[in-house]
Amino acid sequence: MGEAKTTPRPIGTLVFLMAGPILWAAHLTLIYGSQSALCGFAVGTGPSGSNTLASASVIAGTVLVLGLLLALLIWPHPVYKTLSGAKMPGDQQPLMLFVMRFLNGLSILAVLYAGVAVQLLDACADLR
Amino acid sequence: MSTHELDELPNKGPRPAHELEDLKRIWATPTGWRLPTAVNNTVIGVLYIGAALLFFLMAGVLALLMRTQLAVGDNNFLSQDLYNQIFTVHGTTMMFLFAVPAVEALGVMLLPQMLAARDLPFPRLSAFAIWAYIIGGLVFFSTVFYDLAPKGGWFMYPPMTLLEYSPGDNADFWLLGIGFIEISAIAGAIEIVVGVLRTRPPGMTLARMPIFAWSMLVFAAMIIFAFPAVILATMLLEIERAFGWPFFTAELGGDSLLWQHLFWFFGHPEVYIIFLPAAGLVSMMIPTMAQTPLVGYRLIVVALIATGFFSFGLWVHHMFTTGIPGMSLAFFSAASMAVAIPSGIQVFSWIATIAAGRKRFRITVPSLFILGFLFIFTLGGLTGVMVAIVPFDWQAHDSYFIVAHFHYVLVGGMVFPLFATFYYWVPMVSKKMLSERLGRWAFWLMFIGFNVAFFPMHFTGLAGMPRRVWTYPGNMGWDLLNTISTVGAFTMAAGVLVFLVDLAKNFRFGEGGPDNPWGAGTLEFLPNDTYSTRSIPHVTSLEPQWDRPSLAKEVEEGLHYLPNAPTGGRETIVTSAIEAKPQYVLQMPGPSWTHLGAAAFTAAFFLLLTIKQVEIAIACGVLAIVACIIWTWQLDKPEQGEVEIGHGIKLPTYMTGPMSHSWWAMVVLMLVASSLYVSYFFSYLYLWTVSPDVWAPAGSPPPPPLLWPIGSALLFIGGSAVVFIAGKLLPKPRHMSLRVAGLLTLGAAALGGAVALEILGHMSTGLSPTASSYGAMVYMAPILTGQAAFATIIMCLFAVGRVITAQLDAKRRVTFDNAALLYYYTAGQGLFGLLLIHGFPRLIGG
Repeated sequence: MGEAKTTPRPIGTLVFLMAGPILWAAHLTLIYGSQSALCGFAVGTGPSGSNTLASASVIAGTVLVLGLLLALLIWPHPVYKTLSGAKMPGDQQPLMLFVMRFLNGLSILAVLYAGVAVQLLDACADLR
Repeated sequence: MSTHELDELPNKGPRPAHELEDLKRIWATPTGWRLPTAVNNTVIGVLYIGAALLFFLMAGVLALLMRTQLAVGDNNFLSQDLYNQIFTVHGTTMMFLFAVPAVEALGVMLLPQMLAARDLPFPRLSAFAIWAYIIGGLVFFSTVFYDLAPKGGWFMYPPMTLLEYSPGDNADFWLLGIGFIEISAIAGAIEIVVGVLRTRPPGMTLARMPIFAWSMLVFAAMIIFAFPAVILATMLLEIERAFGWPFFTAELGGDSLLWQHLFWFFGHPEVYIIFLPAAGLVSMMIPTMAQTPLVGYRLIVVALIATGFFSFGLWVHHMFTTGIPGMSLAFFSAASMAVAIPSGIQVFSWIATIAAGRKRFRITVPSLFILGFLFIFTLGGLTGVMVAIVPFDWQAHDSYFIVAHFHYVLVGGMVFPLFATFYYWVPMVSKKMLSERLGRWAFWLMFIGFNVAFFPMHFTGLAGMPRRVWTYPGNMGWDLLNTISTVGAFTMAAGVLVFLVDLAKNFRFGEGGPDNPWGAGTLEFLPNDTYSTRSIPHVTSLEPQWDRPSLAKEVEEGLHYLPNAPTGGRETIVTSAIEAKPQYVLQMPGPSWTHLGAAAFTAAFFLLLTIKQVEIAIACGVLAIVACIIWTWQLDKPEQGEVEIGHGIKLPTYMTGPMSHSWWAMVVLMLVASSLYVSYFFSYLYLWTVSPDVWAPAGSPPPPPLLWPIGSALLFIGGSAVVFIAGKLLPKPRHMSLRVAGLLTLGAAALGGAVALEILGHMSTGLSPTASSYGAMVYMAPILTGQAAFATIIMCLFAVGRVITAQLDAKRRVTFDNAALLYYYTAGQGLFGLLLIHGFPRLIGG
């Protein structure tokens, strides 16, 4: 039907709205998984519990995800078109951009918050 | 026509008199002994919420027994064993049998009315979920009367709950009973997701969706991703208890912390699963009481989604004291504090709405419960931030401080809004409103009682009293605080009793209550009957009743969409998920015994398994499948041609593919299945990380030769190809096809063969699932895929039956599409499992 060409894909639209939290979840999985695995196998762990490899993986993951989040903030329209296969409907635009951007901002905060741990703590040390 | 404006009404009046009579006849609620067959959302919604309230009362009585025991030190009112049973059943009932079902019940009851849909898209599925929950829940709760109740706490941590330390059937009742009730919750969640996204009225874009619908959408999505983790956990623990597969036994490579990861990956989101719908209800009531639109509607949408997401990153904060490296703790501490931001946004929005009201905020009973909620929940949130800080958590962990914290969050965040809801929405289902006078008594007794009971517990905890103890020495200085808490608990119970008196005096089920007693702006207070609204309104704003005062009259006169029943049966409009454009008319099923039979036999299957009556259990399982087959056989109704719904819009009465509501439900079901499998994948990697030296253990046979997994993979791929070809060869309408029937049967056989081959391959090497956690995990992969394959095979054979009876063809193909979707998913999962089980050990050189 002709309408299908101009109607945004609903799943793509929902993914666009939640792109920030999805990236946050990916970040948490990435840094927690890599840090836990490296510490679990004691790959590169020093005597005090420091682990350059684990710390580097957290920094790399954080920088990567922050970059993606910022790109989404700056270029929302191309991302929307890629995900939904259509232009953003005019009457939906204010809500969609607001929700996406605000969620994105919260996610940036949460990613920074988790990533900053690498500056404060040795990667594999037990706190007690 | 623009979706912003409504220059001309969709239908002209006056409407023919028979239309209303037709609607009343078609949507009539069965009476007498056929009443249990009802599927109308208002009937089963009330049943659902009534059952949840019953469980709340029963678990509340258990709480009073516990508080009596703890009122003074060295007390012997309850024995230790009975106390442990009571405290386990109290927590389990409140979380699984009251809180989640209560909010799901409100979704079933309120959503169709808020969305002006005739009903949710799968009414029998809702009814099945409700009956399964009632039967399973009552049997589970009754175990406390026979000394058969579980004793391991609502969290059921191993190793305490392993057979060695918890012999008997008590723990099994929890594992099988709760696993079963979770399935019922997931069924409800699928209904809600599809209902919210696809049965909104024309014009109700996402930007005009009531906040409660947003909150239920987030709630259902969270259930879909969170509950499979605990379902897997209960499966693993039950399998370990029944067959000795050592998932949690440390000496054989298992790890009891795996349970905590899986349980809390579900358990923490569970808190928000309970809270978010309650917050959604509050966001609906406050604007009405303030007679002003909600301040920060978009911010609240953001807050709901953000809370839902962030809540999945908090589970480790229940495990801060288990010896996890400090940096991991920091990640989860950060997420725990981040989640406070969206929660805070909602609280500020509510306060701003109260302050910005066009008129003075009306202090009614719902308002009182809302204000009580704001006070209590905010305090609980503040102590939540405290325990998110790792060093403080180490001090407060497992003390009564935590008991105080989570009761402030849960009772404040869910029970108080629920009571506000009872008073606010009761006119929808009762001929009389509840009493303002009795309601105020109930509120003040509950509010004062709650704070007297739980506020002192902060100090009891800080003074060192551990939680989960049945008594304590009288010389510790905890007696007075505990006595005060007990007095508070009974005061709160008195408040609940007053509410029950109010209910008995004033609640009278049926139509005829005041239409819009609070002056709300939303659709659920339009004139309603069993068919929901007479016509389905075109929505142009967030508060349609405020912005278009004539709306109620227009709807009642049938001047909006679908004022009649053009297909002669139950039906509603399906609209697009984002912009709510009408797409087709969904033909819905009516009353039936089948879903009831399916629920009863499924419950019997699980409960009989618990008491090891395997043969009768299997018989019940077969009967449950038969009931499901009869039920679904009646669903795929043939197309009735195009029907006009108003404004000259003609809609089809049958839909397949991604526009169809059943396609959406299938996709959601696949998300559930994949969440379950991802939980398994995590568990596999987790156990390997914990004990890489036994992955596989010394002396364990090597993986089978690659011929086995390659054969299995070929069957998965070949079967998918066969099903794909069958889809291309579907017969012309109203024709049967033996060729397609043969292909589907072949596809089903290939799927079964693929799973069997994988299991046989490992058996041929002599790998034992009981010898190590590695072996247990290896066999678990095909078992999980086998589960999905079992359902797929039944669906394929069902499609065979339909195609042979000429009820499945190239046009009427929903049955085939559903089976094919699940087939491709199962094959994909099976292939992934083969890669993991055969590839990973080779990759790490095991």
